[in-house]
Amino acid sequence: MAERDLDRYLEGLGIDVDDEGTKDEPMLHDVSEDEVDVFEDAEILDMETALGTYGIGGVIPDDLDPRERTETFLVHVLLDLDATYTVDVIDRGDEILAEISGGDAGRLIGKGGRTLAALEFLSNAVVNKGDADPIRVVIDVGGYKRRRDERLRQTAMRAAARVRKSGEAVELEPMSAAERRIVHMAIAEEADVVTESTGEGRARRVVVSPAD
Amino acid sequence: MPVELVTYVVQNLVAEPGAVEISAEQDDRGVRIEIRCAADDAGRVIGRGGRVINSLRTLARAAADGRQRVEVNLIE
Repeated sequence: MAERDLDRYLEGLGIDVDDEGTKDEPMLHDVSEDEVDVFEDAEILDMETALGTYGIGGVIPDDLDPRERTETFLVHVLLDLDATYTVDVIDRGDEILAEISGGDAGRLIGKGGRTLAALEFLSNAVVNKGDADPIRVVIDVGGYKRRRDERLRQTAMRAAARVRKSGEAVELEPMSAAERRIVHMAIAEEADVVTESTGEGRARRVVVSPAD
Repeated sequence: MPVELVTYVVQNLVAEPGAVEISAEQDDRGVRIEIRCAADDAGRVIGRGGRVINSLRTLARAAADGRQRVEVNLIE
């Protein structure tokens, strides 16, 4: 997390960064042996004050809206992963969209997008905790999902073309629920082919068939 | 780091954050993280079909350095 973004995050929590009066003070100074205990106590007290007052390192305050909850949660989680990520969170009405950039995108996406899927799942659980009317939280990292969705739509269209030509059903590779959803939606716009899912668990996949 | 990450996520998943206790044991192969929480919150930490705890494991591994092993378990 860049310093600028951390500042913005703290400001969002009502912490006035510039008024802290710490910026111009030297970060480090020589500490003599008998000064150490006092110095350490001061550090601990500061952290506890921060924990209690701002929910830093603790529980997200109740009075935040879903967008703010998402931002607070992600800023925190991303700081624990890698200090160089930045996140932009917007409320699109029907969903909260969080776009993460900077840092090591591959680490956050994970093999087959599994780390990103885990982060998205946990974000939804935390943001909608105890909420009777949940809102979907969608997270993208460095445009990964946008590119993946485009690739899936192309795969769907190629399968549809093959079905049209041969008149026979085509079975696609196993996919996650989110990926299958993209394929179903892409083909739903086509009049002459239909889709359905078959198989269980990790083997679940889309079958494209001619419409009757 | 994995321990801080697990602590933060679990505290924000449960109804009783004050009852959450996280302990970590580090050895040369990696870290073993144990979660303790209020009995009523166990379901929230595990999730349907283990989805929450499995997501926690995936994320904790991403937060670890390189190839060190990360184990995350709920102690009931």
